[in-house]
Amino acid sequence: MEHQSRWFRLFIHLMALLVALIILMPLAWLFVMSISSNADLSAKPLRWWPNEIDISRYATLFDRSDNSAGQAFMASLFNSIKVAGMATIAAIMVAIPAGWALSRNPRLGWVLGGIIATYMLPPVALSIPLYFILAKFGLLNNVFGLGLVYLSILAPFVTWLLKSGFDPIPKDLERAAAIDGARLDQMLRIVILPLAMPVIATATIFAFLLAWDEFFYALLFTSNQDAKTLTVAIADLAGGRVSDYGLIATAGVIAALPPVLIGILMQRSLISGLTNGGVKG
Amino acid sequence: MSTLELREIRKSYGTLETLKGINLNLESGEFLVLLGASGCGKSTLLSMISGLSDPTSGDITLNERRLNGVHPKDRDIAMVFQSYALYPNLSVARNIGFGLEMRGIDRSTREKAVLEAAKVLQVDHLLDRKPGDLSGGQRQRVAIGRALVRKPKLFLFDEPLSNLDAKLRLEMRSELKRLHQMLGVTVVYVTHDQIEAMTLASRIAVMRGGCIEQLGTPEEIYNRPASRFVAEFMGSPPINILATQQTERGLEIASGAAVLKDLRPTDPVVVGIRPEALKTQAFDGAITLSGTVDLVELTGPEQIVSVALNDTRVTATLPADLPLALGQDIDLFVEPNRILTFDANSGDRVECLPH
Repeated sequence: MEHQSRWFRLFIHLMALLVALIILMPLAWLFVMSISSNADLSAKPLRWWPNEIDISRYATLFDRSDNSAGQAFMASLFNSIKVAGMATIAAIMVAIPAGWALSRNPRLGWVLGGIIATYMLPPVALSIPLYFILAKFGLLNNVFGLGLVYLSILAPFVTWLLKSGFDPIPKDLERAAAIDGARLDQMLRIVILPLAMPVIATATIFAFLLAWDEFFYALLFTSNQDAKTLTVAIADLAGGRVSDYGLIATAGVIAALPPVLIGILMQRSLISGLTNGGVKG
Repeated sequence: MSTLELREIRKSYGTLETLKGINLNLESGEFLVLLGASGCGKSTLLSMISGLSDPTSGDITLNERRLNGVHPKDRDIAMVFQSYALYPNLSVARNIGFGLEMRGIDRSTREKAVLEAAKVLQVDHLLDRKPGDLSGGQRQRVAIGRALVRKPKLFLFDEPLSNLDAKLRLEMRSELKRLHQMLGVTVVYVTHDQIEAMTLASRIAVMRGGCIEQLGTPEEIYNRPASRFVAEFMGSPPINILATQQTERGLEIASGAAVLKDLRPTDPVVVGIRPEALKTQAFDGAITLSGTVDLVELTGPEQIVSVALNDTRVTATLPADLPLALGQDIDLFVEPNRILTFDANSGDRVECLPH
């Protein structure tokens, strides 16, 4: 790297700090809210740090007794994990062969164009036909039904992402594998997929987040604890006559944890540069 | 015994015909180089031998077995790519043994074969590394090892040295030659580098525009090129091509700089003289070209001298110790039988026998 002056380095660090602050401030505030008492939250002027730490809301939400707010919340948490998890795994399974085929056959590019075009449609336009279809198959208020809807959102997006991940993998590798006698599945499993791992990991995280944060379809297609997801459950907390902002914030903190966990798990695969060295000098 | 046989191979992409009827016979143990500029169809031809693409028409047979439509893995061939195409996520040992692994060879046999191939190529100390940790030359050795280990009937090389730096390329070239002499395998080798072709080949097929322009030993290709194209493609510095005129004195070269008394071709011709055929010492029967020194480039072992003759220039490679000054008058002598004549229109070489 070229020489940088001390001031320039300082400037870069300050800017990085600023960006980090902008990103982390809302999260930090969410956490502070979740441990503040109601009195502190409604005080004027606003207290940036509560007088007393109140973690009772965490207890409320983790309460497993029958018909409690905690039970409903935990059920929705597991529904969210189920729906987002199923939809993500299914989307990756569909998108790997689809993305690879699209990457290796540029003539199929129009398919990708069609996929992007369906993305232009607002969810509202699709909600009514989707509702009828789910009703017909008895999949309303069902985690599998919602998972299927999410799959239809995720699969095109993940396919598109994986296609661009497969693009830079040299075709010579596949030719060499073909001459070496690898079957299609062996070629994909041993040669191609390990090289696409960083992109697959990225796609997994994005797909999971997309499904995790989805609200509109979940609100329409679920009605009770059997299938209601976190986003809807959090909205329910705000729906009553009295809104406990602290409770909503607590639910938000808990809802943020699973994606963060997956992000940390996937971090290893995100290390790029795996393709270096196989070809050319 | 003929190993590889290509009959009337044609390949078209839509209306564009990239190969226009290739016929080739390859003996067992031969080292055939397909030589040509980019876009001449040499790589297309190689990929059809490998089975990565199929010819539009024509037959490919290997040891009497027709290969059209046969999957690459069932052809008993191995290929070395320009990009090496090593699997970056697998160790060197697994890279070399991949073909055996895919064919279900048991582990101990495989390891023995890998080690043997690695020893031949002097990469046995690198077996646990990943391709990314290797230098370009080592990667190329591994790629050759991967081809070697399966003991195929036919080796295909697709410009394997063009990604290496000049010094390494020279080393690997000698190594390939030594390897071929040692193992006696049959090779088809694609390159655009005429020196690689000259040094490695037992026969060269010079390709141009989807056809084989000339097929012959390196010596034939260099000294008796079939056409002006082949003559100009081979040799560095390139052959001097000079215009001629029929006069009553004979065939005048370069507006009368020299006269070939005995040659009376029926059609207009141009002549070709290799730079190293031009000498500064007179000898019996020599044709003399008189001019002035225009440019001197010392390469070390020799100097490349450009000599102005009337309205044209010729290049001569002369001994480095010859004192030369710019603008100095110089006489160059050439043996008549080292002057090649080509038809001025078609470019084909014509024999102009003395009358």
